Amino acid sequence: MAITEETVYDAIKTVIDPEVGFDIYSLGLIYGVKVEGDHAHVTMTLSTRGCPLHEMMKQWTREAVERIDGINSCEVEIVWEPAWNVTMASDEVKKALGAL
Amino acid sequence: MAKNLATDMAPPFVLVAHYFLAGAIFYAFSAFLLPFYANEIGGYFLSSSIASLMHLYLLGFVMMVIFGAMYQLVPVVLEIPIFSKDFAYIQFYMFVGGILLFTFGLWNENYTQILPYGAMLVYISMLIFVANIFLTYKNITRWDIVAKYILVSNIFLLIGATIGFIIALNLIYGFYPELVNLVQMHIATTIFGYIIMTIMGIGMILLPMFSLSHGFKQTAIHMAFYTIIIGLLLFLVGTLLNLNLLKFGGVIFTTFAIFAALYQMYLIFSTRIRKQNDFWAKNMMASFATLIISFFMLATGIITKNDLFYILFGFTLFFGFFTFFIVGHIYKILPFLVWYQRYSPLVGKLKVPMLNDMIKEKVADIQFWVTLAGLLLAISAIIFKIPVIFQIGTVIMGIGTLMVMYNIYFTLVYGIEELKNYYKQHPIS
Repeated sequence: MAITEETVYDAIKTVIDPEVGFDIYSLGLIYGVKVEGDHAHVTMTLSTRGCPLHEMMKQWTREAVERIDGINSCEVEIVWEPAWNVTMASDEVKKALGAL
Repeated sequence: MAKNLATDMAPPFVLVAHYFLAGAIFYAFSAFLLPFYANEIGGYFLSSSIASLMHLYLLGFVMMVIFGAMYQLVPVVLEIPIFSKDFAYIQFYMFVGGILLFTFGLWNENYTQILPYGAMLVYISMLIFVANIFLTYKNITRWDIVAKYILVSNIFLLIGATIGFIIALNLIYGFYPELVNLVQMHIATTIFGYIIMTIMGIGMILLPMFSLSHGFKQTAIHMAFYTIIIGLLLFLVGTLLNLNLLKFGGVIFTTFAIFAALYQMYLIFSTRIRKQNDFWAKNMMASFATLIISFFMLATGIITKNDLFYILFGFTLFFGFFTFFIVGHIYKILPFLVWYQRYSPLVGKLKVPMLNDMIKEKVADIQFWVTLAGLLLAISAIIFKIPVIFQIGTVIMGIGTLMVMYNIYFTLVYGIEELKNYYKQHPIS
């Protein structure tokens, strides 16, 4: 069975930012997912450039996606444009942070 | 355990923890000694015993934590690996030994047998740090404002540490009679050129990161960068040539730079998404408020030529601004270091804690108010020259320090038992 992008997003939702306490999908850090056969490509950002979690976030995302049955490899690309802002986060996150 | 996550860009966490823990111990030691200085609060600010305590606090706590934080932040902020982690370990042990010898020599007024060796160790350890940073910069490709601040602050550290070493040699050989000039240049370059410039620079990373601020203009921090360099250079040349007008110009430029940086911090705070005034936010607000107060004291000291205001300036800056800024960030950075070592390999395998779970928030909150109350009491005691109130105030500040120590201990032992059980059931193959 072919892996859908939804399956990849569900896997990504298991990755939590330990500083903010929300998963990186709800935070709006995931800009896009592409699946080609058994390979996935994730485009994401971080809330701050220079964040010490940079490498770990990348690795956790890759590992979470590679745990999906049928995905053999995953490439995670960190981009800085467009820069993240809170409007990209879910309403639940905005509310918890006091931004709504 | 965490090796599988290590990359060139990942900060050397165990190394950083060395600096943070040593910094915390020196902080506790300084807090213990402070009440014994009650009878010196109205005295001459260049006394050997005051210089001893100030160096214990500034080198042992403030600069120790800053050095550790730089080893963590430089690789991720500049996106280049630290030139040498071995240099950083050598620097650490020389620095700790040097501080102990140097401050003991100062306290004991033993300028010829103990102090010079301590000063030499401290000086060499700083040369190693600066060399490590400069060699790291060889490969830099991203020249943003933070990179510029870190580079220039380290140039000032090199100048300031060299002047400091010259002062130590001068105490033995007496080749330069204008000791006050040397001390003023030493204070300007190390306190303003290194510590405050570094805080201004890394504040541009830490404050937006922890408050989730975005979309603010950066004009003020750029303006502060150039004006503080002009201010410090004017002050140095003016002091060296005994030209008071240049010195005064230097003070004006430096003050302008500090207030421009404060305005930048205000802009960051006003666009923050995290609105909760938690222990970190309170510490930041108190740190900036005490920075402003300290500058009013400095201005009053310059106008009235009264040494008392210089003592107030130093006390408020060191035990207000530096303490609140650093303690607030220890609460953020130390849990992260422990979490990284202990939990990051278990992400996806075990329910891992949030960083805030690793701090007793209630204790951190009470500690903030206790420290603030103690500080205000001690400042009042200095103004009205009442030693017993100074003792009460600094003892209250000491209680605050003990609460910081408790939280550090809480973070360090967090989850150990739970993880022991986990590894019993899931042995590492």
